[in-house]
Amino acid sequence: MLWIRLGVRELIKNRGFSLFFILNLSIGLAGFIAIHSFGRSLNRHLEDNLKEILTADLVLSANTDLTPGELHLADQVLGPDTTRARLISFYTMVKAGENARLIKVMAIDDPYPLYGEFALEGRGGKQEIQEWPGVLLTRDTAHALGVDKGDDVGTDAKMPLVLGRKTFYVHDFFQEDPDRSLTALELAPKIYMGIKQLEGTGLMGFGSRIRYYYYYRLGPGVDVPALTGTLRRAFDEKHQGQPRINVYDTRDVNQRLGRVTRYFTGYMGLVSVVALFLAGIATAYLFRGYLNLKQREMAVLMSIGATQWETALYMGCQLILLGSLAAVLAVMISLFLVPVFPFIFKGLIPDHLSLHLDPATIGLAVGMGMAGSLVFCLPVFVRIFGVKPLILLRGSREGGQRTLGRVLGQVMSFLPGVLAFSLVSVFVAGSVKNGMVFVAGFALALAFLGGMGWLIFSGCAYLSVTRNLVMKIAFRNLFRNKWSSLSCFVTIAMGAFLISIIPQIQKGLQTEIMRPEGLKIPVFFLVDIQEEQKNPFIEFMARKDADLINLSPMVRGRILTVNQKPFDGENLSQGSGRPRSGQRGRGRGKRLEFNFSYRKSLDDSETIVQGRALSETPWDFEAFVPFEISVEASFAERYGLSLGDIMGFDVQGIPMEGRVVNLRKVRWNSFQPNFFLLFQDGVLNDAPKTYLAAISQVAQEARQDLKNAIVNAFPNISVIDVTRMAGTLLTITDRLSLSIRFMAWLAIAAGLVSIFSIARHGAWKNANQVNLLKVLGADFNVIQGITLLEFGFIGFTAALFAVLLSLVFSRAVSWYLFDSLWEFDLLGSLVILLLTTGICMATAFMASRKVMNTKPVTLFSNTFDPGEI
Amino acid sequence: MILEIKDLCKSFHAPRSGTIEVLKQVSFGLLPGETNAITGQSGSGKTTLLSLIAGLDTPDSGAVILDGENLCAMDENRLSRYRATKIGIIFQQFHLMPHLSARENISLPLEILKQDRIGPRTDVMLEKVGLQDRQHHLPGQLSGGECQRVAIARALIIKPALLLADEPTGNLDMETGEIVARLFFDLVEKEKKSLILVTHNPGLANQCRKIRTLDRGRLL
Repeated sequence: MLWIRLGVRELIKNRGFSLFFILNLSIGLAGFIAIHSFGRSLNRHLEDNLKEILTADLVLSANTDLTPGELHLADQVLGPDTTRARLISFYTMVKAGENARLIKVMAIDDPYPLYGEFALEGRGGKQEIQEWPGVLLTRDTAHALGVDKGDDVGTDAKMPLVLGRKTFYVHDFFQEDPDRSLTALELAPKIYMGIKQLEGTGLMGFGSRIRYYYYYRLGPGVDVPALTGTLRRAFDEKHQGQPRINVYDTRDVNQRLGRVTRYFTGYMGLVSVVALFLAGIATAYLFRGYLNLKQREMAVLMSIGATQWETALYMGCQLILLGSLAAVLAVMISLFLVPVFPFIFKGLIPDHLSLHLDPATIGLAVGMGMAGSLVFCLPVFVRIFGVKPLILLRGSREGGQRTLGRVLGQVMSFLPGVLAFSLVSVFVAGSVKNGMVFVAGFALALAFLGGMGWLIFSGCAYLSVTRNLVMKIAFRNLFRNKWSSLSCFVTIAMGAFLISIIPQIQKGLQTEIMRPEGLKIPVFFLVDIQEEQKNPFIEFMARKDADLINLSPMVRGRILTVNQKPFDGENLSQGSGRPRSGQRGRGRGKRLEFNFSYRKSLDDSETIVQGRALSETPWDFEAFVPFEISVEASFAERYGLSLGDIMGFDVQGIPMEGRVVNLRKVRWNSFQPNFFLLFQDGVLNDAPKTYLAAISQVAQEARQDLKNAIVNAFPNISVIDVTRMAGTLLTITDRLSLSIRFMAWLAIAAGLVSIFSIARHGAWKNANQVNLLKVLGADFNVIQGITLLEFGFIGFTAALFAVLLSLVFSRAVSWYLFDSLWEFDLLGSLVILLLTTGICMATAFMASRKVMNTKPVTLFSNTFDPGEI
Repeated sequence: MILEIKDLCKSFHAPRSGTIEVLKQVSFGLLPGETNAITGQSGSGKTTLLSLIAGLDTPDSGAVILDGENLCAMDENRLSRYRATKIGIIFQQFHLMPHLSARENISLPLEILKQDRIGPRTDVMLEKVGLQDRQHHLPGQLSGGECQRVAIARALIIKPALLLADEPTGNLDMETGEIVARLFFDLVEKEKKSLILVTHNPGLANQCRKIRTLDRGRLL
């Protein structure tokens, strides 16, 4: 207790140090805690509402309707106490007045949803839409379609919505969608209608991309996962290893939603780890100064009987206490940060997400605060064991001889920090590979910036050879206090790097998504063009003077085998030919059907990266040789396919065999009709097919008219507005960017606290020098100039190298991900450069103001208040 | 004999001038209640000798036997505890804990040793050094003389077998130094403490029963 009491006393007396330590570590911890808390809230919400999100206990889905035999089999396996609901969904065009727009039709029967409900605004129930062509939609969707004409909307309002060949009316508005998909990732808004009302729309022709769902609510106490497994096996047996029906339950929906949000929180989490690490560096630096100051007191304690361990306990208690207080403050800061996330992720996370810090998160925060402060300060902390009471007699601060054991101890003291950083990174990234790549990248950036900083501050020795007093002293200070200059430089540079890299990459992404029309980015993307519509549609487009491009046939089929081994549609790890862990046997992870196509020449968005082009000679059915296949590179990687592989297919009941002759890289963001698998000409020519196409070069003002005309003439063809889709993508990238920048500012804040404390420490250390200069006649401007130049130089060089590093890094990312589309964000870089320099100078000025204003009389009294450090 | 110094040798390695022998075969003894002053010019090895006797440093050879135990054979932790119970040290620069009051500084060794009756024993020491009125003041609020009186009280409170003092008045003006020295020697005599005093001050040295002079590492 004595050591705790003494430690607390010391911290209270050294308020300046304690405050900075707590503030610094808490800023680093806050982001991490906020993200962790957000992630846990989200998981908890998903777990608590899985049935409502899925609207059922178990779901069957397929591309064609389930046969009576299949439904009977499901009923047999699931038992008598089940309730069933039905949904048919597909994308199509809706026309309201002169406004045509892509929507997602959700045709439901009366029992739907089995869990959850529509929160309808108005009169009547949803059962009426079964017998009457009424639709349910949100007010936002109605507004987009131009049918939100006030509260009197209902059966009397008679506002027509034309779907295919049938006219519908707005029945009611719903406030909560029972299907809680992530709305921001949806291609189009949803419209609910009665399943019987699909009749007469003419939208369910061959090749239409329709999905049939059967929802099941099971009796109480039923083991849903076990039944899911049994049903999968039953369908597997029925379809002889070629399942056409996906069977999934709440576990799959949890996995799917979790994957999307983890993608965002993972990146934010990694940036928060950087902020934590930077705060850790600053914390260790602060503690180093404190420990130097306390060396004599520790020696006094030892001289009156305290052992080294007791002395370590005395300092350790202080660290643990500071860490705990920092954690408490971090929890308080995170309480303000967490409510920001729902705004950032609106549409990407479920609505009504209740966010709160649970005891486990608070426990983690305190644990990380306590352990973090010890781990970060360990390399400094071990120096306590080198303190000898002898310094009280000799007046030297040397901590004894440098023995091999002590050097080893010093080196080993860094290991817990490195290990903790790696573990936290892996934990946050959610995978060992991603976590270690991040750690390696971070270490490289740190090494680069550390090396550059070392060179810069070594070079300050030369810069200090000048007649200018301000420059002479400022650069000499930087050179003499190389370690403190370097830790300032690295923390600021890492923060600036993070802030700079994000807009650089975002700029590349924006350029990639919003390429000018001259680069053939289409205006509309067309799906579900029936075979018999092909020629009339081409003629129609010619009459409209529209530029129809890339009309591509699409044939649906299944992959049966790869090199004579059954293909089960699960991801295979590259080369191993085995399913990736965690995905085996999960119906949702299986891809049962694929789209195949053929074309005489490759599109501009495609490049062969391995192998040769497909033969232009049409394949002969009579020839007993496999036809040639071109496989998209990422698809090949995902399923472990390589050149020369023989693949077996089932195309509408006909077995066929082909050989992979090339791997293709596709720029999917070109929004052109592209396919994972392209077959040699002559293979699919006679198969029943639909067509995809794109339309480019349409003036802005003519777009809506063209869309309306297509919908009028060909109601079954879906017209996807590429500009709108690109806008959605940009919104998502904006949010991702915003969320990461939000965390990056925390990293900068941690850096600024360290600048402040280092500047303050430096100022007090140089107090005698400052006073001496005053006595010798230097005016305030000179003294102020020294501080401003010193820290302005650190800020400027740190930001400069951070921007340079971010340019190189973003260039590499653009080359790897965006086909070298990269644009230098000059304005952004300049702002970062100037802002960082300015903030550093202002922070240093504020930190050293008190010392600058001291009277030189302290030279005589030699009063130095250690509590100020 | 309360203290026996046997053939004590200590040398330091200096980067340019090689090995410097600071103490050469130093031997002497101290009887219980005896007071010895060690004088000598700067660099003669006085402080080194004191640090070896206090167990703050280890000799190259020789032995420091205090109350029958060889300090040189003890490990760091045992030495700390032994020192805490047997040796009281008074430094020239006081070395008080800046954030503890005078009273807390005095009682600190007892707390470290987890002894009982800390309060009453501290009161007695405060009275002995005449600081009852200043007991709740921090070192920064005390004069140099008062600080040194706190340091003396802190050294004596454990009732050490041996008292070591390194220029105890070296940081004080002449008048305060004399007052503190008077108090110090009165207490040593009353408590019958064995004392080794390192000083340049002949007046102070003369108050000890025996004066030993070090010259270039050897006792004259």
